Formats: sequence, C-alpha cells, structure tokens
Amino acid sequence: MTFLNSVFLWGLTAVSIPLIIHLLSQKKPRIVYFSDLRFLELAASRSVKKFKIRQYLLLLIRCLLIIIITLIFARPVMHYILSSKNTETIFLIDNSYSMEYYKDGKMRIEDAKNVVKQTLDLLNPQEKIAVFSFSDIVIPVVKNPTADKKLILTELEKIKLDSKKTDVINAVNEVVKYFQNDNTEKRIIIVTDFAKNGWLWKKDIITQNYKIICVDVGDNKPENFAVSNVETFGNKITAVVSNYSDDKKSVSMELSIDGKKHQSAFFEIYPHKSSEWSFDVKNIKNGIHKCFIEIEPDKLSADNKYFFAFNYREKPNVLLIDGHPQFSDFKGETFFLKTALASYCDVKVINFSQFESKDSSNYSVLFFCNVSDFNKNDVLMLKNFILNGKYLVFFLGDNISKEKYNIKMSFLLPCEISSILNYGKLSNHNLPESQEMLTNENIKKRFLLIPEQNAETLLKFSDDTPFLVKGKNNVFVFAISSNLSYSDIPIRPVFPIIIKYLFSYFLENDALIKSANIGDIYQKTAGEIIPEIVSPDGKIVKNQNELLFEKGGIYEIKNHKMEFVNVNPDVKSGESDLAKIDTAEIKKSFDKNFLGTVIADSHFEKKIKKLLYGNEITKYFILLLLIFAILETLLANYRKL
Amino acid sequence: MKSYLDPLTIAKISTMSLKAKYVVEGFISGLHTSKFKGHSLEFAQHREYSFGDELKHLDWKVFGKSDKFFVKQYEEETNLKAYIMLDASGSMGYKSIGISKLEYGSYIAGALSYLMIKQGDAVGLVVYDTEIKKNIPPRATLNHLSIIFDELSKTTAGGETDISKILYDFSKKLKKRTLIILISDLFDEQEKIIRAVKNYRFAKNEIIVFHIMDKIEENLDMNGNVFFKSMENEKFLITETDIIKKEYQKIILEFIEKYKSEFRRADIDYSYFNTSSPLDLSLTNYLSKREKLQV
Repeated sequence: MTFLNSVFLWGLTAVSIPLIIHLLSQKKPRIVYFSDLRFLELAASRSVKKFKIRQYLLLLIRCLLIIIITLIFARPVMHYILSSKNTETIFLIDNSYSMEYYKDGKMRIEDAKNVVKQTLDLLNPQEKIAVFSFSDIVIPVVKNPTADKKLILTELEKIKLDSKKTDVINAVNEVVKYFQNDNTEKRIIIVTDFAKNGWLWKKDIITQNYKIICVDVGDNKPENFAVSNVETFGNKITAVVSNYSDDKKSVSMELSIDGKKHQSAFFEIYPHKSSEWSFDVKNIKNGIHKCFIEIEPDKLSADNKYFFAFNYREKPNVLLIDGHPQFSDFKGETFFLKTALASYCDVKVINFSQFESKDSSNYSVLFFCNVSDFNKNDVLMLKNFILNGKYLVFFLGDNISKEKYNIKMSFLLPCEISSILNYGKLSNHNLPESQEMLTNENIKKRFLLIPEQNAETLLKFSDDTPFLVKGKNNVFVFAISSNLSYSDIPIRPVFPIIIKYLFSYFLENDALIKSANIGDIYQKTAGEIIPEIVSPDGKIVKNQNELLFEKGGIYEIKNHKMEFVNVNPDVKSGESDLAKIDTAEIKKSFDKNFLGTVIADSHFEKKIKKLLYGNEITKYFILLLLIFAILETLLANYRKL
Repeated sequence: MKSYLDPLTIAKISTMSLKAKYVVEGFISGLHTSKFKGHSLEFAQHREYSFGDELKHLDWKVFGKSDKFFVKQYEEETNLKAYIMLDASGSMGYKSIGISKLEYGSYIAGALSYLMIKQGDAVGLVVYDTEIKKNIPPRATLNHLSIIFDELSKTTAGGETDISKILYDFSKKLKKRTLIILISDLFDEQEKIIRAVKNYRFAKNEIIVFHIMDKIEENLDMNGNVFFKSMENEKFLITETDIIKKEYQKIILEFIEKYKSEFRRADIDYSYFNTSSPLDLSLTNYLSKREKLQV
C-alpha cells in the first residue's frame, strides 16, 4: 500500500492523543468515609470489569479513528503488485503505418504521444523511464532509463511514423533482451492501436521482472480501405482493394502511368472482403513504366497508394502448328494449349501442311505440336526466326522421329531427345505456386531429354530429368505431348501455370522488377558497389554499397542489369486491417505479467493511475470512519443509553 | 432533650394512639388492649346471655328496659413492655448532609420513648454495636424517660456491627412477650439479620424494624474517582462512582426489597426511612400504619 499524500502520515503521531488523555484522566481519588463497603465492592466487581473492557475498546476505537482520518488525508492506494522505488517504466510506442489513422482530427500516433505525456505526469518524479518506438523493428528513442522528463518529452516528439507492420510480441521480446542484464523491476507500457495483426504470438515472451500495461489508442469501429496488392502481366494490371470496415463501400480507384492519370474505376467491396479490378493497358510504348494505383482518401491514407513498375508489352501473336490434326478438337494437339494461351496473346492455329505457305514473320512465338519432320527450308526459316529474337516451342508426341529431330535440328534444339519413359511425376522446382496442384497428374509416357551444355532446365520431373528445357537461342522443348496421349497434364490446373511461366520468358526484358517495403535496406553482396541509384523524386546517388528505401515509389538501380524496385508500405502484412484484438487474449498470453489494458479516452488518467499505483481505497476508509464514529458514540454514551 | 421532643413531632404523635398489634401480657396497665384479664376492666360491649355465662356479668339495667338478658363484656388494659434497640455501630455515624443515621435513629427512639411512657408503657433502651454497650431496663416513669434521653444524647457511633448476634443474645434474656423496636441501618449479613428478627416472632414477641439509611447510601449520588474508607473497619476501596452507581443502586434496592418482603411474610413491621425524610413525617407514617394494623 502506498499513499498519494504521504506527508499526511505525520498525522499518525496524533494517535498518542487519546492515550495521553487516557493516562492524564487517571486523577487522584478523593477520600470519602463510607458506612459499608460491601455493596460498593459488589457493585464494583460487577461493573468495573465490563467498564474497563468498554473503556479500552473506546480507547482503541478513538486511536483507530485518528489513524483512519490520517489515512483518508494520505489517500491510500492498494497495489496489485509490489512496486519498489527502483521500478522503471518502459514505453513502447507503436509507430507502424496504421498509427496514421485519423480519429477526431488527430493521428493515432499523436494520441499515443499524449498518452505518454499524461502518464509521465502521473509517475513518481524519481522514476526512471525509457522510450522505444516499434513496428516490426524496435527503435530506441530514450534507451537508457532516465528521470529527465524534459529529455523524454523532446525525444518523444521526434518519433515518426513507420511504413511497416506492428509486431508487439517482437517489440516486447526485443526490449526484454535489451535489458536482460538489468534486474530492476520494470513495467512496460505498450501504446498501440490494438490491431490484431500486430499480436502474433510467435514465441513465448520471457518477462520475469516485467509488468505489462497496454494502452489502446485505436478506433472502436475502424474504417479502412487499402490497395493491398497489384500484379501485372502482359498488358494487364490487376489491383486488389480490401475493405477493412464493417460496411459495404463503393470505392473509386485511379491508375496513373508515368505521372499521368490513365484510367479510373468505381466498384463495390463488401465488408472485410477484397475485390480485384483489372485494367487493360493500351497505347503506351513497350518497356518499363512507373505507375501507381490510388483509391479515394479515407481515415488511413498510407495504404491508399500502391507504386509499381510496369513492363508493358503489346500482346504477342502466337502461331500454333498442329502436327497431328484430328477430327475432334479435343483430341487435337493444340486444343488445350490454345485455351491456356488465350488470355496472354492472339493465337492462330494451323496444320503443319499450311506452315510452308504461312508468313511467320507476323508472329512472335511458334508452337510446334507433335510435328513429325522438317524440311531444309523449314529449318532455315526457323533459324532466321529465332535470330530475330523470337521464340520457338516444341511439344513432342508419337508423330515425331527423335532421330530426325536430333540430327536435322541439332543446331536449334537445346537438348537431345532420347528414349521414351513410361512413368513420371512433375517436380515443383521453379513452380512454387503449383505445389498443391502437382499431386494427381497421370503421366503415361514422356521423352527423356538430355540438355545441351548451355541449355537450361526450367522444369523437372521428380527423378530430376528435364520436363522443360530452354536453349540460349530461346528454343523451348517439352518432354510430353500437348494433348492427352502422353499425360493428363493439359487438363490439370497446373497446365495454365506452366504456360504462364513459359510466357513470362516471351515477355522478358533486360530490366528486373523487384518489390520492397518502405524502410527496407537494399544491399549488394559484400564489397560490391551500386553504381547509380535514382530515387522516386529523381534524386541520383552514385557509388553506394547500400540503400535505404525511405519513401514509397519506384527506385531505379542502375547495375550491370537495370533494376526497378517497387517500394510500398508493408500492406501485404495485414497491417491495414485494424480489427481489434480481444483483451482476454492479451491477458491470457501475458499471464501473470499482465496488469491490464486502458483505453485512451477521457477516463484514461484515472484508469492508468489505478493500474500504476493500484486502487485508491480512500472511500473504504471513509466508510470505516463512519462505522467507527457510530461505534464510538454508542460506546461513549453506553451508560446514558 | 428538647431535640428529641420536638413540639411539632410530639403534637402529631399525641393525636394518635400507639397500640401494639398484639395483646402483650404484662404487669403494667396502659392503653394497650389484651385478651386477658387485668387490674382494671373497661366495658367493651353487650352480648346476649347464653348458657354458662356468669350471672354477675348480667346487665340488669338492660334487662329492666328490654326484658332481655345481656351480658356485659370488658376489655382488659395491659401495660406494654418495650425495648428500643438502637444500633450505634460505626456505619450509623455516616451522614452526607443534615443528620447522621445515629442521630436520626436517636430522634425516633426519643420520640417513641416519650410517647410510650406517656401512655404508661414501660420502655427500655439497648445501645449496641458488636455487643450491647448500654442496656436500660424498661420502666414506665417519667424519670426513666430522662435516663433514656441522657443515654441517647451520649451515644456515639463506632465499631463494627453484629446485629444478629445481639438479637439472639438479647432474645434469651426476655422472659415475657416484649415489644422490640429495632433501629438500625441493618448493614450486616442480611440472611442472619432476617433469621434473628424472625426468631423474635417465633418467640411470640412483637418486633418493629426501623431501617434507616442515608440518601447517598441509597443512590450513591456522587461523581468521580473516590477512595472509600470504611467507617467500621480498616477496609477501603478505590473506584469510579460513575461506573458503579447504577449497579450499586440496583444492589441497594434489592437489599431493601429483600428486607421488606421477608419481614412482610413473617408478619413483622418494617419501615424504611432515609435521613433526608422529615423526622416527624416518618413517625406519623409509621403510627398511621400501626393504627391500621390495630383495627
């Protein structure tokens, strides 16, 4: 128990007053000669014992009354924990981008700072305080505990918003680790918006000497919309917008390319759902474009804009040559291929007999499906075709002669076509997204491909033999047929993924596009220098060995190969979802170390005081005072009554 | 002597007759009636003659007038022999205001002696504490009255009390029915006193008890811490009178009530006085009550 006005405890010395009065009241008796003492003795023996008990009780009550009055003035506080004078307080202030959320005209981070200021005023002046800001990293603000509140206030103002996600547990662990050699009793006050994605209990928290208080500065009914992802392929840009509120909402969205508004969209999103919207881009030059997607303003603006580099390519023309035409399209060599390619390009299908008369110069990619043999002119034409930077793809089949292929096409093919094998299973090598789809494919036959020295095996079977081989000359060879005669892969969900993967080579550009979060560091391998960096605002920095992505946008890194880095807030982490965590969950996880949560509302000061110092129990003492006063009156007037 | 014969007291007592409740056998004639024949007879009433009545008691005058036989009946007048036993123990010397219990008792004793001698009764005086200090045998002369008054004026309080022993011892000396007037604060072992007083009744004596107490003894009307010293012995007690007062009053009330009830049950006259009550009123009240009992 401690006292808010401990100076009044001097009043306890007044307890001696009733004792002194009691002692002084023992007056010298006057002498009276009396006729017979028997009745007096009898009366005294009956009354005095009771009287003395009553008198001592009265004395006790009067002493207690003085103690209680003193305690009322001293304002006693019952502690939940024993806190020593050396207790130190560590503030952990959430500065993840969700703390930018506006409520009542203020950002959450401002409220968090106010919470710290209010709490500082309530703490013991001698109490030492440390301050850290945190998102998924912890940044010391005042790392060595100090009682210098002026310094704390100055440093507090310097805390800026981060573009990263919240990780409370990591932050607590980091702080505990930081103070691991310090045995002083500590209390950690976590000031955060309570967004549940920030409380992922990845590992146990070791908090032996720590007591934890959580302050909630978040909105009770948060409303937020975010551009949570953007994907590009070919001439298509697909944006994913998420609605993290409880109501259905119509959202307007704009696509800007190279700083100019290009297209806009308006669509509805159901509560706690995401919607995809695809833009077909036309009439821009092939190559890399700096773009962003932006939705209309809401309470949290950090996640409303998404930057990305867009490698635009016009839709290529693709010619499929069927080497073994059938009456039924379904049985043909090109049916499934055409379906898989349709969304990426303009596809034309012909029989091999028509190929000679066809002008192949209008096409970027030629697919030969189970074509038996090529004459000299064909081979010459194909040679010229790939020399023009175009692409050849071969699907094999029963129709082909592997000997002829290996001899006539040896200078074109990236591999030797060897024997037919009867069983195979695809490996997920290079196709991570198809992992779950590669379980049930039925491969009846396949060719064993033996790659040339400079060839690259893009996809493999589980026995490590090639499934898809790519030559340096942009010639691709599959080990199976493109119809169902060798396997059921063409009708499996994995097939479009394989085709998309293949197609990404057709669109390949020298430039490399990567993604990073604001605050990440780009680093070359040790000792290497980055020759030139162009930041989103056009600032050029040369010869750096590392780069901090300070702001959102597209960074150009001019290396031996041009790199573009899309730098955005960490929206994919779920930080934009402000749905709150249940306090019971926090309590359960922090267990004995948990003191409680406080909402940063108008009663904050009273509530945090209760958690810091315990419950002020003055009112109970007032009640006791009343009870004892009544008792005193009854006992003092016992004889009169 | 004047103090014992206050004119107002004597005037009031003179208007009433002190008559014993029971007819006491005695030698001295007086105002007191007796079932037995005495030296002088006084006509009481007529009764119709019945067989066996002595003829000498026939009233011939009535026969002459009414032609019927009536017999004259007479009451015998007897002399009362009385002892006034005055307690002179230390406790009787206690007085809070006005007069002490001993003084008060002496006034009663004086007044009664005067009254009784005037009626022709023989009065004696016994002064005692733990033993009989003075014993004046009963006489019916006025000279004897002055002896009693002298003794009363000389009597002082002192020593302890042993009333029951005195009463037992004294009862052995009585050979005829005697009226005993006991004047005391009765501060002794209550059961013994009651037994001793009852003993007189069993011996066919008449006993009247005047119980005298001081008002302070009755209600302990004093405050603060008091060092009480006994007036009869070396005992003492230090106590808060405020604390014990209520209990004390209760004990004293029980004490008085016990005497009252026990004596009433034994057909013994008991009167309680406190020294602050007017002396003459106490006597008048007593005599009135005595008269009623006589009827």
